[in-house]
Amino acid sequence: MTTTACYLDPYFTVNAQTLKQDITSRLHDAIRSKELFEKEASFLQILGVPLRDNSIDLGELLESVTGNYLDSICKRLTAHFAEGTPAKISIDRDLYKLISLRGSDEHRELQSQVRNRLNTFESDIKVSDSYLEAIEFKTIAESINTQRENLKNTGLSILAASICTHLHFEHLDGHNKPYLKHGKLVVNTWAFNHYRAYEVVKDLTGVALALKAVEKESDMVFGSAMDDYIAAAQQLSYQGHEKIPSRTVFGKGSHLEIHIFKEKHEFRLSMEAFEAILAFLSLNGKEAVVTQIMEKTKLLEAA
Amino acid sequence: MYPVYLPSALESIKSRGSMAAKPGSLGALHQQRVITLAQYWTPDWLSRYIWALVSPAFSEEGRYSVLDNSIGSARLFKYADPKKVNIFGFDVDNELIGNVVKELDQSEHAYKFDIVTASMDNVELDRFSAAFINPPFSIPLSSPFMRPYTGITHYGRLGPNTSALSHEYALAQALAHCDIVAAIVPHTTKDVFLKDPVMQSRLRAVFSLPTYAFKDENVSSVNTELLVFGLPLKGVKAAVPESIRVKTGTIDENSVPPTLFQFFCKSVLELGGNVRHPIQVNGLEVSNPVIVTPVSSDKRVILKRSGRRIKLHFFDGATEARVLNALMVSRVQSTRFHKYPKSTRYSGQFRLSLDALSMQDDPATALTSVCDIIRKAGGQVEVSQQLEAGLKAILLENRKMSVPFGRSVYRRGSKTFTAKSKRMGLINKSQFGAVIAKNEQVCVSRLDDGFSIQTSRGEFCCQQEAFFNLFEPDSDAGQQGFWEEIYPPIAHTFPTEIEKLKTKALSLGLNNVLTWDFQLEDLLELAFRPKGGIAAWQMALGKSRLAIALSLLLNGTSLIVLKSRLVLEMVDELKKLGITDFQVIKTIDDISRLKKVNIISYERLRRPLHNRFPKLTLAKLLRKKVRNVLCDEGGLLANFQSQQTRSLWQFGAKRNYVLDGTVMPNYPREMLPIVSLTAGQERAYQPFSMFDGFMEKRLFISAIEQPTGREEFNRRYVTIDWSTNELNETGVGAKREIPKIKPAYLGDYRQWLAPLVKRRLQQEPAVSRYVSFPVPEINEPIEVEWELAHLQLYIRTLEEFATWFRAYAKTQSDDGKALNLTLILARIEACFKVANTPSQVSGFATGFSHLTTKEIACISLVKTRIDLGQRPIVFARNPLVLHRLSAELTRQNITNLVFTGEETIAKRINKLDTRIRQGNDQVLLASLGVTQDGLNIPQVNAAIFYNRSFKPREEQQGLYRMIRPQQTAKRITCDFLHLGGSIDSYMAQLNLWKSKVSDAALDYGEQPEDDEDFIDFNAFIYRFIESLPALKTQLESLRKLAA
Repeated sequence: MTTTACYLDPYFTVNAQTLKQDITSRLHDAIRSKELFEKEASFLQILGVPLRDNSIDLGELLESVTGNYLDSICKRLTAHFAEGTPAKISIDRDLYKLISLRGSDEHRELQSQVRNRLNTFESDIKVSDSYLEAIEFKTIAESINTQRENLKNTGLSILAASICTHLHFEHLDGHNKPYLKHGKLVVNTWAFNHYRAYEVVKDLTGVALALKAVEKESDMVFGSAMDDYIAAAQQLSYQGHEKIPSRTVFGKGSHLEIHIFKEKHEFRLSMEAFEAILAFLSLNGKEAVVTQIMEKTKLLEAA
Repeated sequence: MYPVYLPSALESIKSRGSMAAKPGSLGALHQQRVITLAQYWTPDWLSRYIWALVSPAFSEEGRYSVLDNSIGSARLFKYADPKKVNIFGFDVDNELIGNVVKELDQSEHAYKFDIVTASMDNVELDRFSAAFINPPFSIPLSSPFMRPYTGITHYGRLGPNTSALSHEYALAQALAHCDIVAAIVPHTTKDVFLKDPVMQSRLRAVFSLPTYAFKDENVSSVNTELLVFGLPLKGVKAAVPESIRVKTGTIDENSVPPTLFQFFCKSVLELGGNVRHPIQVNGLEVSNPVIVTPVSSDKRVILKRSGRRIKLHFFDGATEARVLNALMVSRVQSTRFHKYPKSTRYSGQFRLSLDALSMQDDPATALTSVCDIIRKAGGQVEVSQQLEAGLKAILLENRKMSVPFGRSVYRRGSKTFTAKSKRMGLINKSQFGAVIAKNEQVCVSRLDDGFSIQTSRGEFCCQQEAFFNLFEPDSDAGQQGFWEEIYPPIAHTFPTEIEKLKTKALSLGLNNVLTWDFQLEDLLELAFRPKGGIAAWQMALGKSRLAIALSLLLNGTSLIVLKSRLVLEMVDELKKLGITDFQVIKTIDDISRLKKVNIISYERLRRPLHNRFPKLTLAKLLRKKVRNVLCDEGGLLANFQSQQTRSLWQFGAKRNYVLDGTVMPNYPREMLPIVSLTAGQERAYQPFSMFDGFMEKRLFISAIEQPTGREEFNRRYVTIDWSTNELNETGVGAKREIPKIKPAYLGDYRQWLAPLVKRRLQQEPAVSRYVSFPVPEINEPIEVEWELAHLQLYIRTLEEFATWFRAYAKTQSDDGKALNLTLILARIEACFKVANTPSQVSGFATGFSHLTTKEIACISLVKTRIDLGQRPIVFARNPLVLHRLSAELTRQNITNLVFTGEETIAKRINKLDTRIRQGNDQVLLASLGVTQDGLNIPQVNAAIFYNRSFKPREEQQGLYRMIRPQQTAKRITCDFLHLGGSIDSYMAQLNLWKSKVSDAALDYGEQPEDDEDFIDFNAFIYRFIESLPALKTQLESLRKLAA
């Protein structure tokens, strides 16, 4: 049995032909293993060993092997090209789940082939070949390559969106709108206790990632406020609905300070930090949001 | 027992009430009240009781302010401890107030007080900690300036809330401005006040006084109460039963004051600190009428010119009142929130200012609008020809003073080039989408005041400083630079005037005095200015000759002011040029026979002519006698407080010029005094002032927002910030002024200086066409290692300083006093001495007869320079160092000359001439103090600074002694020697910042980057002390090595 690793050219471009070849090879191996498994399973049953299943559904086999292989390529490329951003490369399952989608007219013939085959190795191979012919490898390769090329930017957009959401930049007329005070930009967020800590930490981790991206690009150093804040949230105990103690300050003196009060948590950004974030949002976020931010925080006048 | 603080002289003053005869009827009672002002002093026991009752509210540490709004002879403050309280008060009795102020002023207890003559219905008050009041009873008050108090002030003759009873108004006023009030009032008063629930919550005590309480004041029986109020109670405390909350009872001489419920007040600090004028008197001075013009039917209003103002001439008093009210609109008063310039008294007064008028888009229309206001107020306007001519003259003056001097600046980079962004950031803050990603390549074009950046998102403007912070020009572009003319010569705008001046200059033969084109051009531009200017020519471009030429070209007599050591050189120069109509002013007689060109030294100018008359100086006698004043090395005028500067301001000359190559020695704000002298203050072309207002266009409409000139200058150009990041993080220390101009205003600052400063640089094309100056190679400082014994001594001295400084800083902080920098500098001198001249330090075992590592390094560097064919000059502060170096150099057969202030000027110049200028001595060893402006030594070509100076100017001046036109060497070097971790590196950092900001402001260079630390003096001291552990580690290493 061979398991051939996907071949990627030195520039990490996924090639449709190569994809097909690799998957073909894997499917043939899988079918061989299926035949062997079914033979042995039958024998065991004859010997009296109770087995739940002594056969493997061919359709499932074909789709899961293909899907697993494509996922591994996507994961590898994501790891390489996301550069720490949360963007992921993924393939639309409809592109290879041609058999299990029984409602689809497009692949009835294939489905019929699967149902009506002789259940021999040769017929399985024949079905597998038909299956492979039906898959649009070119489309898959193009999709992967396109996503790869834009992955970092997509990731940065996600990060920009998380900043906008958590720091309320999308709702500049809302209750928690940011405001300028003593030369700093102040953003209020709701205080949380242990019960909400999990989802808040999830959000905050995204924001922390975003701020690290800003730091990397702008040479701004936000300090340890975010990390300390997340750590404190993670340590909240369920007893007594514990909250982070009021008057705690994370990152005092740095460009990002987080001040804890009973009913709110205040993010205080220095103007340099705010400008760095604004630059990041201008490059990676929604233009409308950035325009609104600049207008509302009167950056023009502040300048 | 409470000690008495009030001067006893005040106790002997009798009240008017006590001396008045008893009234026979109610009508007479009212009459008597008016005469006596219902003035009755508080009995002594009652003053003591009140003080004992209230003083527990004052904490031990704080300082408090106490008010009496009918202070009389200040009896209520008899027991007030001057160490704890500041006293404030007012009274209508002018003579009495005069006595009180005099006695308190002369008191041994050093009272802090502010007591004025005023009526309580005519004052605006700040906040105070407590009030002790015994107001006049039942005097009807009537004033348009009353503050309204519900239930207390009523509709009066002058309108709503213009009438009240004195004791009620006094109590209401005290309650409105003080946290605690102790008031002696008629017994019915509380019923009026306690209708208000807030007053109820404030009430803490009601004590009935005996009816005979004021018997000593000739009042046999009166029903009075002592009411005591505190801060309003809230929440649970407000719900406390009245019996607990409010103490009641009858008190007398023997009563012991109880403790009052929730009784405290804010200290002066908590109230916001000391306020300059906590009592401001409203209304007009009633003793002297403002309008004295009699009433007549002649409604004419003649508008004349009086200096820079419009003077109105009236013939009818009523018209005058109406017109002035219409023009002036309203009085403006300084408060703690806004300080007005002292000459700004009315919001509309700038309608009569020719400067404000001249700044309007159409001054003629503006003048018409003023006339319209006068007409609407019933005046018949006549505009005098004198005024029209005056306005035209001011407009012309503005134009002539506003046009920038011709100027070229050196630009880094080429006109267009490519650059790469160093990081992500905003290109500017005013254009949407003006953002750059990291490592993005852009095309750049230079603009007047920055760059235009072409990115994938569009084209955006970027200020110079921001550009170099964000982008790295491609290597070729970074190396290049070009000279750009940013302002054309004035001749382009005023060709006729300049040509006229040129004709005159040529007829005087001044083209033989100033032989280079740029010199003549600058002469004409400077002479063109009606008020004066600053000639900031770099060294060796001929400032002395410029001064002479200007003196000859300008009309009237001229006075050239120099440092005394340069007087002879100036005289020599004049003689060389064949000019005879000059003199050096030394005595009073010289003033009576002034020549065309008169020379005087700064020192002589300010020196008193006689010990008996310290204020009688030559400066004073020269007032209004010279038309033009030219100050050589006038950068020293940046210190307005110095006697030299004050002397120069006394002249009242028509034109003032300052000639100095390093005109901005330290901070951008230092330009303000110099510019104020040469261009005037509060003008359209120079809107700032040092002690008055800021001139701007909108003042013509209203002066309500007018800041002071200095305030506006500081707001724009003075940067107050955390001087180092560590102070920011630790919170220790405070914000300091740092030598940097706010980036947003850097362009503004340059524009402000453009018509005021004529700058010339040695390397600019107009100069280099005639003379070539080598560009000095400024090398990185050479770090010299310590020697064990020397480091030991240094550490010991530094530890002593650190111990002293910490104790001193704590004492000063405890006393609420600032650090005395002069004292600190004097103490730090010891460290400086140890670092550089340890041989001078007594009481140390080895005596340091051998050379220190720094001296050895210096000798070595000298030899290196000599080997390279150069002729070094070594600068040091202390002549002892120079002598030691000289001895060693001589021992090594290297000829050298020591040039210090130990010898007379004549003697040392003679030696310099024979041994360096005409001689062959290989090395010149010169002390920094004597190697300054005016001394030309092109024979040397390698500067070595043994010491750093606290003043970048000193180092610059020293360096430029050898950068003269006569310099033949192709290569000029400059080296600095720093002892590792010593005071040298801190001084270097200080100087670097100051040099950079001067470069940025005057020569369009770059300011220090935002992330660079400026070590202000305080931070410098702390870092200096904190360097001890590192030095000790170094010492340990040296010990190990030695072992």
